[in-house]
Order: sequence, then structure tokens, then C-alpha cells
Amino acid sequence: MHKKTELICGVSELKPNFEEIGNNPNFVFENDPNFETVRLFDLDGNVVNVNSWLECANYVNGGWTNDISDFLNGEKYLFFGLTLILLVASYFQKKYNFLKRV
Amino acid sequence: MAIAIISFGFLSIPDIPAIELHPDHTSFYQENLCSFSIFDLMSQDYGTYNIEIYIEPTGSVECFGKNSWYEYQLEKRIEYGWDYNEPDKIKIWISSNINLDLLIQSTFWLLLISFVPRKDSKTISNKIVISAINTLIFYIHLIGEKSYYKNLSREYDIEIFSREFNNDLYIENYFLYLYLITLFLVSYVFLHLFENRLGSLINYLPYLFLIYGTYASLNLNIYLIILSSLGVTSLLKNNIHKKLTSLYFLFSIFWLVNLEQKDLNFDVDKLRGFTNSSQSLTSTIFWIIIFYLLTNGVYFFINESRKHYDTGKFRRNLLISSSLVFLIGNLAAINKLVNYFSFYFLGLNKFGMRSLESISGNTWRGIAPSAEGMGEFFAFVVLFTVLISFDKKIQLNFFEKLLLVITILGIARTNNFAAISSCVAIVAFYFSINKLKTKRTIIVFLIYLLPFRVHCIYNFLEIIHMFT
Repeated sequence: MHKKTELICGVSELKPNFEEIGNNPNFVFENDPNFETVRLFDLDGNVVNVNSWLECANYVNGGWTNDISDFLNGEKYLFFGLTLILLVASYFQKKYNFLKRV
Repeated sequence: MAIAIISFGFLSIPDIPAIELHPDHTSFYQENLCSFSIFDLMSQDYGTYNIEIYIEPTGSVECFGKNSWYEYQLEKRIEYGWDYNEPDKIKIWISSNINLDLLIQSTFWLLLISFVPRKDSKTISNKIVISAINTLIFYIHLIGEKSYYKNLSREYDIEIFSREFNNDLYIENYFLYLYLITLFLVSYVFLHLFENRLGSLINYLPYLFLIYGTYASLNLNIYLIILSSLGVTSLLKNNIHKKLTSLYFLFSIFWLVNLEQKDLNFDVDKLRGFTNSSQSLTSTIFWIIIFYLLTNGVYFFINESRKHYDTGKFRRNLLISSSLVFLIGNLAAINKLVNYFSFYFLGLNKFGMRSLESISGNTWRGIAPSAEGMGEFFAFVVLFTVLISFDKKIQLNFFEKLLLVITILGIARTNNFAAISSCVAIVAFYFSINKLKTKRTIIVFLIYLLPFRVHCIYNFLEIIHMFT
């Protein structure tokens, strides 16, 4: 989430403690006038406008995003799919050495 | 064919059916992004509207091959000396993705190489080590051209692993893992293909003019990857010219020391795949290394294969390649799907011409980025064919004569006077030498050239006059 937070909310020196924020029902996010408002949404289509880096990081950590493609990590499925194909191919390569005949 | 069909969603069924391509339906297509494949769109009626398809390289994996944007451009006046009205058109962007482009296009091109007949095997040892080194070099490329790739992919991240805010290890940079694995596979598979085709690949070099090999979204070219793997191979075999290597790296160090680093994103345009898009230290180091390896790779390739060079086969493949360039160019001009897929699977730097009409009634470039360059290639093919046929007395069969006619048609369409006249002059000179074989021939030839030289001097003086 660190990478996604940097991408959506920008870089910050702050090191948020999300557990502490989550466990404190009275926690209030302070607006940052220097922070450009970011609109985030979740999988259900709910929308929120965040006005500080900390608030933005908190929502992103909770799965909110500003881009619909983040909900389905295509690269992850492609990576595991390719790895599976490679494992099968390696097995056949060891057994039949088919690359020699290619 | 199967790769093209499956990867571009021919078999997929959209949730909602596509509708007619019309300016009034712009909002429909803009609201339903990533819903329709290029096949769904092209099967729709578009009346008399001009449709232009473009690639959107910033797409996600999920959106690959689907509509990324749709807009209607009104008729507008183009002013650049020869003012004309560009007709109205519907522009459609089809999404592509860095990782999928690397995977699909590499698979296709390696598959094409696999069709080259096997001949004279020679085992290349340490293929895994060579591929790993090559992959590492291309990792440097990804780091160095941060500005270029950051604009292309939301998933761009160069760290193999990183730390979360709570210090947990984050090892889900699938973008990078896919990139590295694919590059490793490309090098590894190519080395296997190369070692089994040492005796035949050299005669298939003419197809370099057909398969440009540039990836649709990356600033990379397949020939960089495969030839640099050969360069690494020759380096590990200590098969390098030590003096030239030292001189090259001496100049490189001088260049790097004086480099003024700038974090910019240079529009690589027609040079994409073979030029630096940044002015960072890392990217400059990458391109210095890669051009060194590329040169070594080419030298290694020629050295290992030259004894298998066959003039007849080379000539035949030159003719086939030039004919295919011309024919595919024509097909791409009349069919939008061919235009799109020729761009993608031939690895072109820019889309082929979308009409059979010449530019300003003058030249026609087909699928090539420049008409002049393609004219020179066609002229070279004709020149090579004629000279080799007569010099080596290798007859052309009916099929090759037909291909020669197609190539000549290609020169005529590109309308490159310099290429045509040079070709004619050289052929005339060749026949003159062979007929007379005296010094007088050279004088006669120079007299033939006189009108061309006068014409060139006249043009040169006109240009000077324009600027003074």
C-alpha cells in the first residue's frame, strides 16, 4: 500500500500508524490547505474527497483508489499465469528437452 | 493469427452490444470504456465516416485490446504551406499495456524466427547466465527512463521489494517481475533458436525491413534485446576487439563526466526503440552499454554465419521482403484492421498510411515511416537483384520476376527520384564496364553523370540563394 499511497496521495515524510487511527473513534483528520483534494472511491462506488495526506493514506490503505483499474490487479494474474506456464514448460523441457528441437 | 485473435479479444463477448460508429454515439463509447474489442468496433456500421484507430499505450492489463477513448474530430483546415481541409473523422484509441506488449509481440517475433529452417547447430553455453546479464542490463533501462515509463504505466515501480509503513516487506511488484521474467525468456529462447539456425539466419536478414520490431508501448526494440544477448555471448567468450572496446569506453567516460543530467522526457517518435528518451546518468549508461553490445552482437552474428551466406536465397528473401512491404502497405491503406495489426505485429514506429493517395500528390510511404527510406530500400533490392543475376549468372524464376515487378511498383509509388536515378546509373555503369572494360568507360560514365551533377549543383546554388 505504501507504493499505491505515494502514487495517489503523493510523497510525505509522515509515517502513519493506521492501527492507531483505526482504533481511535474520535480521531479527526485535519485539513491541509497545501494538499490538493483527491477524490477516491471504493469497489461499491462510494466516493470520498480527502483533504490531507494522512486522510488520503488512510483511505488508500483501506482499499480506496482514484483509478478503477486498481480493483483488479491484472499484472498479478498475468504473473502467476506466466509462472505456471513456465513451471509446466520447465518440467517438459527437463523430461523431453524440447527446446533442442525448436 | 491465433495470438492476434485471442489477445485482442476476438473471442470475448461484451456485456453490452456495441453500436454504430457515429458522432452522436460519442458519449456512449466514452462512458463504456474498456468494453469493446477492436473486432466489436470494426464490425459496426460507420457509414461514410472516416475511422482512424490509434494505440493507447497507457492501458491496464484488464483493458488490453479494448476501447480506451473515442472522439469525433470536425473538419479542420491544415495550414503548412499547402493549405487543405482535413476531413472530419472518428478517432478510436485501443488500449495496450507494457507487460502484455512485451509478452505478445516477443512471442510473435520469436515464433517467426522459429520458422527459419534449422541448419548447422552450435551449442551456446551458459544461456542462463547470458540471459540473466541481459535482463539486468534492461533493468537499468527501466530505471534510467523513469519519466518515459512513469507516464505510461500506473504500476511502474523499479524496486524488487520495499517496506510498508509498518515495516512489513512488500513483494508484490508484479509489473517489474513480469518485465524481468519476459526479458529473460526472450533472451533465453532466442539463444536456443539461434544456436539451431546458425547456418540459415543470415540469409533471412532482408526481413528486417519488414519486421521493424519496435514494441507498441516500450522504448525498446526486439533486435536490441536479441542482439545484445549475442553481444553478451561474445563478451563471455572474450571474442571482442580490445583496442576498440577501450577507445569506446574512454570516450564514454568522457561523455558521462561532462553529461548535464536532466530529468526530461524526450519525444522519441520515429526513433522509438533505438534512442534515449531521457538525459539521466542511468539511461545514458544503459544506451552506452547496449550499443556496445549491439555492435558486438552484430559482429558475432556475421562472423559465425557468414560462411553460410547464399546469394540466391538472400536475393529471393530480399524480393519477398520488399514485395510484402509494398503489399501489406496497400492492404493497410484500405483495411483498418490490417492497418492496426500491421502496426502492432510488424512493430512499426508509426501507423501505415490510411489511404492509397500519395502525400500532396507526390510520395506514398505505405507502412514505412518515410517514403524516401522505403524508396531507397526498393531501389537497393532492384539493384542487388539485377547485378547479382547478371554477375553470378543466377537466373530469376517466374515467382522472383513477379516479385521484382512488385518491387518496381513500390519504387514508383515512393517516387524517390534520387534512388531511382542512382539505381539506373549504377546498373548502366555496370553494363558499360562489362561491355567495354576500358578506362574510356569511366570517362563515358562520368559524361552520363554530368546532367545529374549539373542538376545537383543548380539545386545547391538555389538553396544558398534562398538563405542569403
